[in-house]
Amino acid sequence: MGSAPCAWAEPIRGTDNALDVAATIHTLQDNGFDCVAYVIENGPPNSFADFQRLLAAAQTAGISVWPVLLPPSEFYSLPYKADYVGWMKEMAHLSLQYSALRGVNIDDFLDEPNLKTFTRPYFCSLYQAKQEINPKLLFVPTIYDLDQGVADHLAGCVDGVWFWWTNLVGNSGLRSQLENSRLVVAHRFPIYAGIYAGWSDWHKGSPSPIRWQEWRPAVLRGALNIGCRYADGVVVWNLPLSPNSSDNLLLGVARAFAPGGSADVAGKCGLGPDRGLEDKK
Amino acid sequence: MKDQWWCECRRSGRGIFLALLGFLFFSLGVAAAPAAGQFPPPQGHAMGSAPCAWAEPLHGADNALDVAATIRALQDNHFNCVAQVIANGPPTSFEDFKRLLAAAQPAGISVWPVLIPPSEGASSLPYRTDYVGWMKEMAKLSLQYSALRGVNIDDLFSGISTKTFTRAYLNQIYQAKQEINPQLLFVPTIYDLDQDVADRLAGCVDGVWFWWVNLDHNAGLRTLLEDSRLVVANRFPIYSGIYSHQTSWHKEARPLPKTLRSALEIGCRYADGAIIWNLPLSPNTADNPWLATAREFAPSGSADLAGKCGLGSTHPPTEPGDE
Repeated sequence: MGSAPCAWAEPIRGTDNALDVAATIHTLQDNGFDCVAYVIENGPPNSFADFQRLLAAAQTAGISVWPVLLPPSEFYSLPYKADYVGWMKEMAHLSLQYSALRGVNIDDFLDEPNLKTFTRPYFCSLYQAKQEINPKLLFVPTIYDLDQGVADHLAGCVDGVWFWWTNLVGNSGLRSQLENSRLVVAHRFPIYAGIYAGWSDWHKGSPSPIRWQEWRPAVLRGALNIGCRYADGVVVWNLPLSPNSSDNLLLGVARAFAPGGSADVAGKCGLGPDRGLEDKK
Repeated sequence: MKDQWWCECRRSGRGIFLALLGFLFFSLGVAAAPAAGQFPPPQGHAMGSAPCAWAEPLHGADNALDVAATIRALQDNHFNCVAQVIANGPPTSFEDFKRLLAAAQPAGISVWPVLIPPSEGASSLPYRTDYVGWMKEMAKLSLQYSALRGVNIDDLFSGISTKTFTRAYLNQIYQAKQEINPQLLFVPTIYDLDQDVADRLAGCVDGVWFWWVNLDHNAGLRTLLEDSRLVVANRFPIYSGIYSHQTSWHKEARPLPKTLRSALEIGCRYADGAIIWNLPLSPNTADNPWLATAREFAPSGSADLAGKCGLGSTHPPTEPGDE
């Protein structure tokens, strides 16, 4: 996922609602990010065509790109919809052309409605599909629980997981979650910490703008600090790339973890306490 | 070094000898105790077969704890365990606590005092930061009232409390009650439970209240409980702490009743028991969905694990979709 947190960015829109690729690449570079995650949906600014334009530009800019495919519970990504083997073949072929296409994510992989689709034989066939075309392309789905059963279920058919921390107001327990899940995974695949920058639909609180300003950046900073130390890397959901100014507190927090940033682990996200990062417990 | 820590707390010859003396004293003490009512012998794990209610205090006259109403509300809702903070005045004074304890004994309700740590002002009077003094006091009280099942210290490793609760000091606290009544349990509050924390606590606690602090969502709670059992490795029980109230860092709203229900389902299934923070015992009506939700997990409640909270936590790994 790179040496900085990977930015799952809110899309920057251009004319006709299409993704403003130039502004996206420019902002990522300005802030020191070398990785971007991008949802493929059913129209601009998240169409497959938008994605391909982003990928071509990212290749030149030296930025890794991770497409996020929607699972059945979240409708579908066009054009392949629920043909995830078809998607994986398409992405594997694209990755031969663009090495910036580092891996593929499927969102909410093991959520209840998606379990019927993503049986172990089926997701192992996804894995095989890309292995046969380009084994360097990684398959790293999204999960929210990672105990012994989940680890055993996934091992051998994924190249890692994005393991999301869903507490938007505090980080107590995040260190335990990451450290202890490493025990059950036992080096069978990497664990990347998924951290929310934006509110989600299940967060029912409606904080005042003042509380948002005071609270959210501090919580995000704490979560990134723990994620970078105790996971193999970090992806940040819904990071606002715009405005690219000091008014964008969340972008400022994330930028501190990019190379040259002010965080202790800047540019070393995911290197871990056993690989050179000081343990700050 | 970690083995040495373990020795400090569990394998001290003096500790074992004094513990045996304490047990004899305890046995005699119970026999000689003033009539304090019958209390059922402990069954299952320490927190009871229903989630333990850390209840919002019911205020009576002069702001004192309304003990009668508290006991009645607990019994009406089939709770057999209550946690009560001891602070610096009514309704959570030490006097309030002792009145509650005396009434809980004949009612068959276990009582857990919660002591305030330095990070929250160390305001539990009269002993404040003398937690060894507190533990001795509680151990003696527990000889008189077997309903006094255990003692909690809140936020053991939060902020400045970490400086107070060194391994050596935790050992003193633990030994203090072991020497008087080893059946009294010491079960502090924690928010992280990795290998380091487990090793630091093992041998000096009788369990932990391990709190889940996400009031919006329970994704990850099962993992947190299951995976922490690996690092604890049967050295002490893990009780799942669940919030039913908004708190300083989540002022916007209480958890939704369905979120509380889901947390209790996971806590009762994957931990050794559960405790609910700031459960509102009043009103005892349909207008109180949090109380109604918690009651579902008490004996005769409608939940699958009603009256069996924490009794089935030894289980094979869960395959996705098995729940």
